[in-house]
Amino acid sequence: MKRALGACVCAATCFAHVAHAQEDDGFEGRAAPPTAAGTTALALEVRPGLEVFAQYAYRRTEHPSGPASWYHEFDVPRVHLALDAKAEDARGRVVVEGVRSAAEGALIGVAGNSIVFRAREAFAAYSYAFVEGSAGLVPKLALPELEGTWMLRAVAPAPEEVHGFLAPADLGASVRATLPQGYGFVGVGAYDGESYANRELNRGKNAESAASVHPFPRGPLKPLAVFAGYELGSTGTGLSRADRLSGALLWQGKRVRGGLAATYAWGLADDGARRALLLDAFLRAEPVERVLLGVRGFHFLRDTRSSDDSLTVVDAALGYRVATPLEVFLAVTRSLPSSAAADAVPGSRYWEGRLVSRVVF
Amino acid sequence: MRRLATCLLASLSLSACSERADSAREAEIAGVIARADEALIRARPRLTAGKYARMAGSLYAYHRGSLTVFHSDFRADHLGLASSRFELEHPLVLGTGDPHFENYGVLVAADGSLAVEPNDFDAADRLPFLWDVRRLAVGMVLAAHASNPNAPAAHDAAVAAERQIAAAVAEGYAETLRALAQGAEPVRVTSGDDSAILTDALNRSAGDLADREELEELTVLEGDSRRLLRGALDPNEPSEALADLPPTVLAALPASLARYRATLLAPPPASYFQILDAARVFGRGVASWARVRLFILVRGPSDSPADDVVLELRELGDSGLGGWYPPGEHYDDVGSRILGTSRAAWARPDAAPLWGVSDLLGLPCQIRWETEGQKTLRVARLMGLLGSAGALIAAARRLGELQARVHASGGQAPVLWKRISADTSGFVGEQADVAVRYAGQVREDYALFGSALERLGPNLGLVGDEGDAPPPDLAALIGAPP
Repeated sequence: MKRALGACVCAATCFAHVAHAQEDDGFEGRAAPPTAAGTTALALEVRPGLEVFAQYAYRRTEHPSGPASWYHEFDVPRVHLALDAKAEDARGRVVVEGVRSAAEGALIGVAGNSIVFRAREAFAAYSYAFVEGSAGLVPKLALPELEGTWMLRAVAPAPEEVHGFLAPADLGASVRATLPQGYGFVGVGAYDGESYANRELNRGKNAESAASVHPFPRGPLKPLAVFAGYELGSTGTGLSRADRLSGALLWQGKRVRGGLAATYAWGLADDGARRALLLDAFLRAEPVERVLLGVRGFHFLRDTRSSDDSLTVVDAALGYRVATPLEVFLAVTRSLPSSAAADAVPGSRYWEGRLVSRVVF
Repeated sequence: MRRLATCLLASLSLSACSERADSAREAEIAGVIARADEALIRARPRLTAGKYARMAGSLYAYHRGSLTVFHSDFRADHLGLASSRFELEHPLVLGTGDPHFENYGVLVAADGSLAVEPNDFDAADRLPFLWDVRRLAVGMVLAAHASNPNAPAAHDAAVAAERQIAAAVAEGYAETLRALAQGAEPVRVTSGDDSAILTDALNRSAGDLADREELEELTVLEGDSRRLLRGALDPNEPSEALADLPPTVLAALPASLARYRATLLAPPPASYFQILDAARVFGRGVASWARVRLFILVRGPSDSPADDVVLELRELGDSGLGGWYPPGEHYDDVGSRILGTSRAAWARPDAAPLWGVSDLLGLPCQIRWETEGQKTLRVARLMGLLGSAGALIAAARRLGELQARVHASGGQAPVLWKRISADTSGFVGEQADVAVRYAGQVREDYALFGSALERLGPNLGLVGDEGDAPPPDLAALIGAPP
């Protein structure tokens, strides 16, 4: 076994040397292509991927002092195209996502309000032993851990992302060390702090540190993880405070996955004096082969200075894996704001039913 | 363990990169405004810097330019700006979005009659009714604070009446809703009645309309032909100036006017819009200071230079206030939003017969008659009799009435009245309390905005780069302010 592995490593090393030589010498006497992507012999492993959610949603909005209103639409809430490449200890990844080109309620977008593609991740990474460093438009540490445990984004996006607590990616760099023997990971990152959807607006940079520890990496409690993350940050041209503390108890099993998470915000939505708390509980299960169940609920204290400013949302879904890459779900959402939250965010008291399909390769 | 320690050490080192503002509210104001204006700041930084300088020039100008802060505070329920015992989120009413004292004025209808109407629909959209009521009441309180700048006693008297002024908005609003819900006909404000402020605007409009005062102020007659002036129109206001337009813009104007003409209810013949001259206008407005604005001198009814007509073309943007709940969008495009809201809001659709929309080099724009016969209410005139507490209370009541008529234009008076009829005095008191409280916040914000400009620079800390520059033809249209 060792001999075979050694032969593989030796062959790969030789091939890499040859490829390196080819790249150096291949353009002798002529210009290299204006964009070199896909032209080198270094891309030993390149994997394309895609993920698409398509849904029909019916929302019945209840208005405390008036008749209910309803709306329904077909939508493509998520489109992701990804390309991963790896050679030697280096890898790169690009993910583009489809989004509406104008903000909610806006009329001026790209070609009306078309779905356009933008970069969600674009980074280079290098691994040394069990440490990997990434730079570019990189995934952050906290939200991917929560979302990656839930694995039912098609049913409900992470409330930490929806309500501006955590971002999935940002421009910056991160270092992540995988703890030996399956004990989890620790990581740090530095980012612009405006998330992947905005340009940098200030001199302040965000610093994030996070750790996910599996205290019992062997045996039946292997899926159990304790996660903690802290981000020291600022946002906007005015440098508003935007610090986050996250903690979660996670279960990352094959058939059952779930978590209890709490995220506290010092500063939210450009208001550095605001304090907010989000409590999140979620469970994903596959009790019978191909049958998927998902339940997620969160309680969002929009402003802890107010005694009556909160939002509670529960999502439930029943799904079926039609084929390995294709899942369909019937999902229901109930959103219940407090009185003050309902006044400030009209339309936040609603029932929503969705028929969702997710295909992923 | 050593690696863990290394990671933590690295994390602490990174923390040193973080930088924070000392004042959370100052940072919030700067952040919210710059975020909303980011595209404009990057593409036309000199114009946005001019807008912010204008906002920093007076409390009321700050109020006019900071609608986005009001929006942010409403969504966060800051100081209870959104909370109410009378909340009614459905149906959303047809709102003007930014109803404040200086967004009302006299309009000349198709039959030549004059009336006070809303005259700015930049932020008009479908909204919760309390949004408009509170925005107007706050604006009236701030108008009182901006009144009588050189007469301390009169100023103090107006300020002392701030709660009554705010209450008058809600009283006028409620009374009109009651009348409309009971079947009364909507009232067109053709006379000031007890409001000295409205009477003054109507009288001055009538006088200047007959004299075609705008031709005197904006144009010069050379032989038999008239052209627009160039340069500063008023030596005391050097930032307000007219400048030449580049050939690409002049070439695009006829087609733009043809599209505009098609949006008018009763369009004059095409010859009416024969272009005699056009100029870029700098330094007008507050919220729209950075937007493209032109004056277009057209032929008018005859070849005589006496009846030439000046049109104002102004770039439009999104209302920024839509998206309360699905479907979120209620219009096909920006032009449809302006036409739909304005004609429904006015007492009669032809309240301003030359008010239409078009586009110019891809920018959506609004075109309307620029005439001294259509006076806008101005805080600067709130002096003496017009700045008295009584005058402000009367004007507040009339504008509240007018806003109720606007909200009722979709047949929603019964629903709205039902919501507040059980406790009308409670409704009035609540709106007055919120308006006075939030107006106090705006006064504090005004000072903080000034310090934010000092701390962060003329564009609130947002620094563009060369890649943000617009393409040459658009850059030529945007121009450089004097």
